[in-house]
Amino acid sequence: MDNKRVLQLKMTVLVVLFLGAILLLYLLWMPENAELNISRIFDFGRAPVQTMDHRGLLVPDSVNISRGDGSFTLQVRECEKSMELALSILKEYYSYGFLQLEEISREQYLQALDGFRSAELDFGFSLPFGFIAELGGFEESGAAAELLISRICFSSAARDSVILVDGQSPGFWRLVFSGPIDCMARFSALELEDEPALAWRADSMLGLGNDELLPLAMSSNAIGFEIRPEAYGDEYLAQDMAEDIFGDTFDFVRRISDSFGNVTYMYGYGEKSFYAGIDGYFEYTSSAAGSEATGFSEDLQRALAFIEACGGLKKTGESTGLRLCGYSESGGRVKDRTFLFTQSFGGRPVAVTEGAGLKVSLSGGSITGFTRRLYRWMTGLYGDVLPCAEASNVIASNSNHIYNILNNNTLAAASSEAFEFAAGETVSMLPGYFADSMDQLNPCWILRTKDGTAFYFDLYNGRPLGFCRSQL
Amino acid sequence: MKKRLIQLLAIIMLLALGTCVCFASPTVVSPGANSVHDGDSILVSVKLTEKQTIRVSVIRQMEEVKAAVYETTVDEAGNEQTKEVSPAEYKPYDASKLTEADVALLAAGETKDAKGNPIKLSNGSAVKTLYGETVSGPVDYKNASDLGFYTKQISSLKPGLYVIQVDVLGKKIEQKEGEEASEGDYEIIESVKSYVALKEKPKETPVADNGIFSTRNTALQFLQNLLRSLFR
Amino acid sequence: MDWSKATNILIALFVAVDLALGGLYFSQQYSLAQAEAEAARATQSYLEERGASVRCSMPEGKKRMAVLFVSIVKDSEPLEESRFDGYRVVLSGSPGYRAEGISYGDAKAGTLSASGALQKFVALHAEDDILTNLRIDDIELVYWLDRQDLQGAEGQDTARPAWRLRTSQGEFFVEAF
Repeated sequence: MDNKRVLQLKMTVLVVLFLGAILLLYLLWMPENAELNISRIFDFGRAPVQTMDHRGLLVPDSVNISRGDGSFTLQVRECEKSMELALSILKEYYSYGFLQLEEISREQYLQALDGFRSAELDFGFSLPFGFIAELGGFEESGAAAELLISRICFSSAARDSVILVDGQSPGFWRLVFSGPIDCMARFSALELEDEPALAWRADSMLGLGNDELLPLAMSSNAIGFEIRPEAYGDEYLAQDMAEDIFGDTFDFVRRISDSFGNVTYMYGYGEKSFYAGIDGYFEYTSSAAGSEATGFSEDLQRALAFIEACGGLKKTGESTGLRLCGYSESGGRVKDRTFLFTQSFGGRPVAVTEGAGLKVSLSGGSITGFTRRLYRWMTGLYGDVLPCAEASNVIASNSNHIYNILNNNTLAAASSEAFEFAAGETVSMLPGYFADSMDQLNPCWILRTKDGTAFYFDLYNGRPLGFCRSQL
Repeated sequence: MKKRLIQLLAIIMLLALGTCVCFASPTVVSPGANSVHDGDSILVSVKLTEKQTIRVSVIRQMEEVKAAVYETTVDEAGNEQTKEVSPAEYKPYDASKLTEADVALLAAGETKDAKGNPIKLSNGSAVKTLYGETVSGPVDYKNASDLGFYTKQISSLKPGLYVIQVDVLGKKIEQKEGEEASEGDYEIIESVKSYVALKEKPKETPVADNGIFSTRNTALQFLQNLLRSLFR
Repeated sequence: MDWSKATNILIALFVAVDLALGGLYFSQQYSLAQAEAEAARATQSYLEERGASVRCSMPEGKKRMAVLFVSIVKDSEPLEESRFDGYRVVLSGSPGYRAEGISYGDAKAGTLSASGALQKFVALHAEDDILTNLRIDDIELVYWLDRQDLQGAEGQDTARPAWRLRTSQGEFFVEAF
């Protein structure tokens, strides 16, 4: 009995000594002060965060089907279906065997599209073809992967080819494969609910300008309705986002708020700064650039992980789907990249006063900034089908306005000069929505010009609602 | 005195001319004047640079196959009466072999040249007088700004020669007594016509390459690809 | 298995380990204190070399402090000091305004000692003339905010612990974090 007690006592002493050793080890090796170490700040680039599904991210802004006689039909909704089809066709082509990448001329491209039945997916911005290969699940690691392309075209002019276009540079290429596919038969077989609109090239429709497509006689049931900024009713959203950004150092950052209630969180002397406006606008900047040579896909993954970790998308109501709507890159091996994302409603993009609702910038693989203005809407509203304002007349009646904005507030000598300029600068004119500063979602025409500026005109009466210069 | 009168007259004429010049005619931007297209659709686009109302029609050109037959009878009073026995028969004008120059000649409407000889088309046939059959419209369009467009796609057209007719409408013609009130009776100030020939679209050949891209030198292209992949 | 013997051995082992670790820890603390004292002495002699003098007593010890959220208001009664929980709240760069403490931040962090702050100050100004014949009249731990970048604006901001040095050449602030 006695021995047992002694043994128990000894075990207790042993445990105490053991814990003592642990404590002493901790005291010896842990720093005394809570050091404000930058490396301890939550690094979004390396954290394994659940990523969003990439497939829904890339949806063409429009799908243009040519009948081969100069007339086109313009599909602006359900473009995901065409995207799925295009990816499956590409995968099939690659399974037959890729032969070569060939540069072609603009004339050849126009001939292939206008003179033959063709289908063109227009993303509205340029991105690496390699990413499209990833989405489609086919292997393209050659020169084609590096091409920045904004359009993918299938034409019955060349059934063994797929035409790639970079609308920005511009550049035109043809991927040649071993086996022919009757792509147009497959596109014709696609079942779509919406009746696509007619479209013609601008120079045919207006007598001058360029060869971009403009819609003809579109109708829509879109109506305007009230929406809410994502922070509406959630007074802690800004703080939650700031905590996600600053991590352990959140309690020591400088918190500045003005008399309106806009808050800025600042670390150091502005090395990391996060602004939360009461109108629902968020902006983050960081001077810490990375030095990794990351790829497009990797940076996109990091951008999405950051969005998910910082604010997420849980609170945006009916349309949680984000679409990639802009991209730019610069630099050599170590790149600076900027991604633009937009919310969508009824299959069409929702533009905000800054342009795209979400902008994420990376340098060397590290997040250097983002801007965010997202909305929530409880129920989608639609009205009766009404004819939209004619694209030709929207450009004609707003040409002085377009001239003025693009030429830094100078006026054209004559309205004919303004019209010629506006028609020449227009790259696309597609329906969408514009969320104005009064939290009203307005159905609109989104007219994009060569320099990346977007003009918003009321969908039904063509009156200007606003404009936004390129965010890239 | 005479000199002064002449001067005054000259000034008045100039003013009159000036006022005439400031009236801007609509322009048919599409289809291009005297153009030839394949297919069954055309885009009608009319550019208006004044606040005016226009009436647009698409008229198919027909040629007379058989002339109308008339019968002249003399009644008891000795008056001659001419009656149509059988109407004229028309068929659509065959535009399948027309060139742009041919369309221009047909648009001009002259069947004989200055010497009195018949004007010939590229295929050897003579320029005929043609008759119109409206296939689309008339549609009225009011332009309320200084620059506007009327645009419409006309589809499912059969091959042939067509005229896009744009009439500039003026004041409403006053109804004469006893006449039925009919809509659309406006004064036509001006008429602009644009001719276009539509041909059957050639069938697409289901081959891998329809000849657009085969002009490239494939050896050069192979070298380009090789270099590109080396320096990627 | 002789548990008794085993436990005896283990106890002896851990006593030895604990003593060793304890010894290491205390020697580490001692050398840290020595280093601090040495640095303080070096600073003192450097100041003497430059003709500077410290005319006040140096507060002892290090505190763990949090940031202080303040509200920026127009200075209605300029003679009154702004204080929060015994600490002076000092606003620089925004004449006509004062900072009123609202609440502390959630977490605390270690701060520099007065001596450490003096060393930092000396290191910052070693190259210029400020230290020559400088007379340091007072050294106090305050909450400080510099709002030069936001002059003339009201609202809320964040003050951080800092040592205020009152000298013959004016007021200087050394961040304590």
